[in-house]
Amino acid sequence: MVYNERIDTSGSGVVQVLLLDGSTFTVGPNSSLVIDKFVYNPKTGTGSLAASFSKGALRFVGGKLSKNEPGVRVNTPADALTVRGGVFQGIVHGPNRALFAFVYGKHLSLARGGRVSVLRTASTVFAISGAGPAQTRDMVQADADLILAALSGKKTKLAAGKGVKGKPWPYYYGISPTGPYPDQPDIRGLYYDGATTQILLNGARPVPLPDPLRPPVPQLPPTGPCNSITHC
Amino acid sequence: MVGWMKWAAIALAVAGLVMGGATLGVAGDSTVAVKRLGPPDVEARREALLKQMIARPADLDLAFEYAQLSSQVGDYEAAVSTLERMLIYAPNTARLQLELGILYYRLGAYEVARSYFAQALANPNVPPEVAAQIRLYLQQLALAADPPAFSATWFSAIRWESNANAGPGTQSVTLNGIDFTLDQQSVGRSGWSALNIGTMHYAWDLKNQGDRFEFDALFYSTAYFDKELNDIDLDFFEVTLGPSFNMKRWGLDKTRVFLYGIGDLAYLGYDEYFTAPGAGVRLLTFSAERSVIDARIETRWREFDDSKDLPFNSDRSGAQTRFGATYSYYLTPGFVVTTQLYGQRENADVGYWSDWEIAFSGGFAWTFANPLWQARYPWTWQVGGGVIRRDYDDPDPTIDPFEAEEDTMWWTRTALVLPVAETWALVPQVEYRDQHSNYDIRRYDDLTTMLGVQKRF
Repeated sequence: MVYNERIDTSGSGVVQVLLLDGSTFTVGPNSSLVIDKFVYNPKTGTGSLAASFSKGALRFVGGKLSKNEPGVRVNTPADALTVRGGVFQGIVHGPNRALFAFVYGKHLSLARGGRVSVLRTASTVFAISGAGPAQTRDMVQADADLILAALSGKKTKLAAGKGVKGKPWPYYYGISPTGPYPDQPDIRGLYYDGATTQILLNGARPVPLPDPLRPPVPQLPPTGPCNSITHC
Repeated sequence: MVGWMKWAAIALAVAGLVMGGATLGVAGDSTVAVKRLGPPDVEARREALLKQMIARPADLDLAFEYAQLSSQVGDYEAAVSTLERMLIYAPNTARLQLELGILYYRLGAYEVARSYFAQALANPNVPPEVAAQIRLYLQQLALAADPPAFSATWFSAIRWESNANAGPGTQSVTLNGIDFTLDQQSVGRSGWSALNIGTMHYAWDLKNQGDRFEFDALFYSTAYFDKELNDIDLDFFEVTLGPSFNMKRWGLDKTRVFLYGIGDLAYLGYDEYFTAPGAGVRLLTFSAERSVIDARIETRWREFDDSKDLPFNSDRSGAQTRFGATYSYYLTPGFVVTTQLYGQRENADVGYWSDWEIAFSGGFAWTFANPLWQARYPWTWQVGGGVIRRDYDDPDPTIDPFEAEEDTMWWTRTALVLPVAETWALVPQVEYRDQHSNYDIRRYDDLTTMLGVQKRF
């Protein structure tokens, strides 16, 4: 049993908390996590886990407790998350600036401002930028890069760290992750991240692989509908 | 343990991972460093290892064994969190970043997988074999991850054919047992033409666990420069529309089923040639690590129109049903082999236009760095070939009252895709077709060469 165990990381520290049911919290630099309650019976595989995450970057990988109802609860300044099964990660800068990504599992729900929003499809996010409800949208590559950079203590030039006035957070230069026609961060993001530009130059960039039977041009079958006046 | 000794131990453990070639996530590639245990033994061992890891979190040997066993039983989450902890002790280790990327890929978390692959490739000390593996996965991700909602292509080419009208090579043919001399117009005739092909794709996300509504359009046009061949100028339009379903809800990962309606319209020599509503079902799956299977069944109810040049064209009307599958396998990041098999049944109003068709083809596409100068984009060389066999139901009374037509066509094609900019490419292509038939008048061969420009949107 664990109660009120606090973990604060420094400007360069990365910590992983491993619990007896197999759950882990990986916490990036400048972060603050409290394990409010961890009670676990290894014989039955039951118990409960609740934590509070007030700032920084976090990845939670669920163990046995998250696979049972009601899941695992993580309180944040942006209100309470509940994850059932699986993996979620996120960044918290304050009550009105946070990004939570549902990576894998049954669902991730957010209780904020009196309403509960639920993500059931993997690779979707809650984006909180302002006092209103969280925006629900698909994860873009830039989100994953931003969170991994925050967890690893690295910087990324892709996003405006403190946001851009008048734009929702996170704001990614050159791409807009919202709207009916989201940009393709695979391509645009490449121009902002030196590492992935290197991938492009080394030829690892995904080339739409042509079909050897129908090279880049969709062809009618070789017989065609009609190639001869005498044979139509 | 003294500071430098600890780091030496970590380095040795990670080096052991690399040298042992122990790839946790790649079945078929892995050299399993842990003795294979039966399922109950695995769980008992994992429980014991978990307790030991909590007591000794810096022991990388324990962590490695736990991650191996977790991956073995399919508990990728446990393997992921263990490797993340190892990465804390051995930061920026390309091999660990690769393994994490692979595990996230297996979980279907493609964006997170790509992030780890990018980190590993950016590592100046990334071993070449690790970099090659990462590139393979990046190629797979390009296919497995959801494509952009909108995409389009345009292709324009100048084409020369040795036998544009697919006529017999000789003026002397046998019809109904009698020798005929065909007029010049009916004999195989070479010709230059302009070819234009456009495709467009749009997918609406139904926001229902990855289901989509898909629209596809195809436009195909050939126009011959020789006035004598204008009668075979062809304009063809096809649209398909319908939902696609993410099969993960039924445990079939990276698999999608498409249901769609089809609409075809064709003009030949600028007269309406046929219209065809239809329907189809398609299965697209990337479930095996380096493989893609694309299988479909389509039916079109083709209504052919009579015209001045083709007064009996409507005899060809009827249902056309095709069922087939294409299988592609990535031998390396830049080399894919493909095979295709299909069968087709065409019903027509008259038996001599009704037929069964079966076809088999194969080929490869090889992507490689520009061999001539240091260029940003690689080239792709494709080669393909195959055979099509067609057997008609009834004899054609105008040609042979006793024997039904049987055709066998052999074809081969090669093309180069030469990107000149991110979305532009030059495409030279050569194709040869040779049709054998028991009907003289249906025998022909045709060499086609073309040079085209492709633009992707």
